[in-house]
Amino acid sequence: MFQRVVKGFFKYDPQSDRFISLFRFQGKELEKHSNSLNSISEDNNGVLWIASYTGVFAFDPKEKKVVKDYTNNELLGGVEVYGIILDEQQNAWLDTERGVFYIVHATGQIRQLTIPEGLRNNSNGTFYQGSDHSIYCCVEGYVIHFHPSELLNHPDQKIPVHFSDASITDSAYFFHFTSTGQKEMIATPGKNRFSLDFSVMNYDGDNRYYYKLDGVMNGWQRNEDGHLAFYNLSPGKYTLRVKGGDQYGNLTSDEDDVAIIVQPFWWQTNWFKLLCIALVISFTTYLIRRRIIQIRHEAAFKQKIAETEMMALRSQMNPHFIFNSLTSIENFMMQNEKRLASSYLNKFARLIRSILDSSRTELIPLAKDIEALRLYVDLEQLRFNHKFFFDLHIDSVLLNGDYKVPAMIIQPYVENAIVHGLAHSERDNLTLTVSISLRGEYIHYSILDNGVGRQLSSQYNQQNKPRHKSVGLSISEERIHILNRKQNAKGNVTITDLFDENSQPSGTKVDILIKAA
Amino acid sequence: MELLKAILVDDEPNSLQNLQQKIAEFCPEIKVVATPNKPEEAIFLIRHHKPDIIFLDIEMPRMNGFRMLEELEDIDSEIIFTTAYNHYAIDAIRISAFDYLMKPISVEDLQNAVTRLIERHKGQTHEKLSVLRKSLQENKSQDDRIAIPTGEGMEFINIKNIVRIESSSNYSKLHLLSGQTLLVTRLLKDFEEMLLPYRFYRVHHSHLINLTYIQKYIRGEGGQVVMQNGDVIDVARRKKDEFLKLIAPN
Repeated sequence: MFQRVVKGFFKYDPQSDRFISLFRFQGKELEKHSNSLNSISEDNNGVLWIASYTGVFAFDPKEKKVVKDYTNNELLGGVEVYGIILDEQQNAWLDTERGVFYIVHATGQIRQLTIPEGLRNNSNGTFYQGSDHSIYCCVEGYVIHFHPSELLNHPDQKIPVHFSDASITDSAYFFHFTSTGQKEMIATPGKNRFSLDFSVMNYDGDNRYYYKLDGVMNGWQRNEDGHLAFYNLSPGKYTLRVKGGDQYGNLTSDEDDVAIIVQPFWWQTNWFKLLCIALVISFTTYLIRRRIIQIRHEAAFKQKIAETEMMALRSQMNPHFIFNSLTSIENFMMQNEKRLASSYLNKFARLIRSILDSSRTELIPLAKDIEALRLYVDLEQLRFNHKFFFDLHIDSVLLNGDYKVPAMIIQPYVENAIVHGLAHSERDNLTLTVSISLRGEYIHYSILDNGVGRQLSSQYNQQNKPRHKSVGLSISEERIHILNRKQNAKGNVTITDLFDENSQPSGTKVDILIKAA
Repeated sequence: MELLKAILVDDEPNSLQNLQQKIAEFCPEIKVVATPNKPEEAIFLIRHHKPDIIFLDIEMPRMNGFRMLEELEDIDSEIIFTTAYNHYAIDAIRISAFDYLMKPISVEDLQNAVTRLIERHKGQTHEKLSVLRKSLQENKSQDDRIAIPTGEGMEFINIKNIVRIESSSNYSKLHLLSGQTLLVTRLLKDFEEMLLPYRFYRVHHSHLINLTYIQKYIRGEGGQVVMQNGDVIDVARRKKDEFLKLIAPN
């Protein structure tokens, strides 16, 4: 038998007819729990459940301490509890100044027994335990009899919840309904500030409002008053769910939801982003490929320059010319013409040196090039036994100026005039005339011969050796093309067949224009 | 001994004078009877003098040496070509076993050529010229012939009759389709250069084979080729790749 006193617990021992002190509250505990105790009930574990003036707490005499404390609970804290009774499942039933409450043993939840459960009103009463584990509750004017297990197995009470109002950018919005009955809210691009209100249809006690935005929030979020506002949701599809809860924090199973579709601006859409990415990728690819092509082009161009220069050198070093010249020079030796042998060997050496030098640099001074030309023609004249005259005219402007030209660019044309024009001819006064003049930005070379002309010459060539190909001319043309590209110029070569008054071929004229450098 | 009559043909007077001088000084067996410097003139003079030797320049205006020879059909004179530089023509000259001199002409080469000519003077110019003409053509076929100097003079062999040529020191041994062999005082290198355009390939330091007569190839370090006549020829290791590309181009 326990007795309630202000300061603690004492046990009455009938044998010795004495009170044995079990526990005394100290300090704060004394203040909190020493208020007048109204009722005590012992559970299966020997824990004492105590209904006090300020609430309910549970005291374990073995441990000598409070194991559960509801005196600060938001529902029960400070509420006077008149009576307490524990049922078969150890649920605690409380008779309070605010009505009947119960604490569910399994979960520790506190709930109120109200009208939906069968109470006439929320007034308080007194508990009595029936023999079949049922509980009698005597309230003012009537008695309730119930089986706690049945009552607690009752499904959750449904508190209906639904959206009541919606607006987008401050103007009222009426929900769409899809074919499946799904509520839908569509925010057009740029208008993604919207608010929604929802109501919890419980007119009994305080309601709680919960919401959850699928895809954005993980769990349910409590809301103060059922007014939700969203700003700047990124474009996409969301589902907004709302739920109600009772004052004890119990969520109801009923919920309402609305699909929110925030439409993107055209530049926010996926296809636009994809398009942008594709554009960037293709543009980058294009740039890279263009660069690769450009580099290849440059490399090919450089390669071509190198090849052409090599070929030009080889064509200037025409083996026929070289060995025939050497034969001519050797002949002077055989004839004991020491002076001539020495002179021509010298010319030959100077020409070869000039060719070798010029192969290293692209452009050489015009004067040097003219000297090489003179040497070359001199040696050809020797080779062909002075069969032809050589006239050379140069503008004084060019001689005095500092002009540079591609080395030996006209040599193949001069060689052609001699070997294919003059050499075939047996007439008198065979003449090779070379004129070099300045024409605006360009240097103009004119190579004129009064030989057999191109037509007859090519006829001879065909008869003699159909396989032979003259590369010298094409190389010079190639060099002029390269120069044009480098100088952004319009150098060119024009070949004119000449005829006399009787319309007979009377030679060939070659005009070459090269931008002066 | 009767002197050999010679005509020198060259368009360049210096060249003519040069050669004439050298012959006069160093080749007492030869008497130069004319030195035309125009091909038209040369044709006339050759017909007129019927020389024993013609020194003929290949490169001439209007009509080159070869063209000029075509004008001279019944010609018995020996011909020695002179040229400053002419690659394709030289192969043809060699295949037809003519002698040639490179300008400027060295006295030693000149004397050797004259000596050879005197020793082997057999008057087969006509036949050699037909080989030359054939060889100058662009499309070569194994039906063409090659002129081969032998102890007795010249032998003209159809190129398709040569199965392979084997080198043995300063000689080359020709293995013919008939099973005969022919020993020639020419280097294998010379044959290689001459016969390269006719689908011959030097598979080994001492073997030049006619690709037409390969029967099979046996794999190995360099491998071996079996010719249609049953001869087994080693392929040099460093020649293997090039050779395989040649016989099976893919």
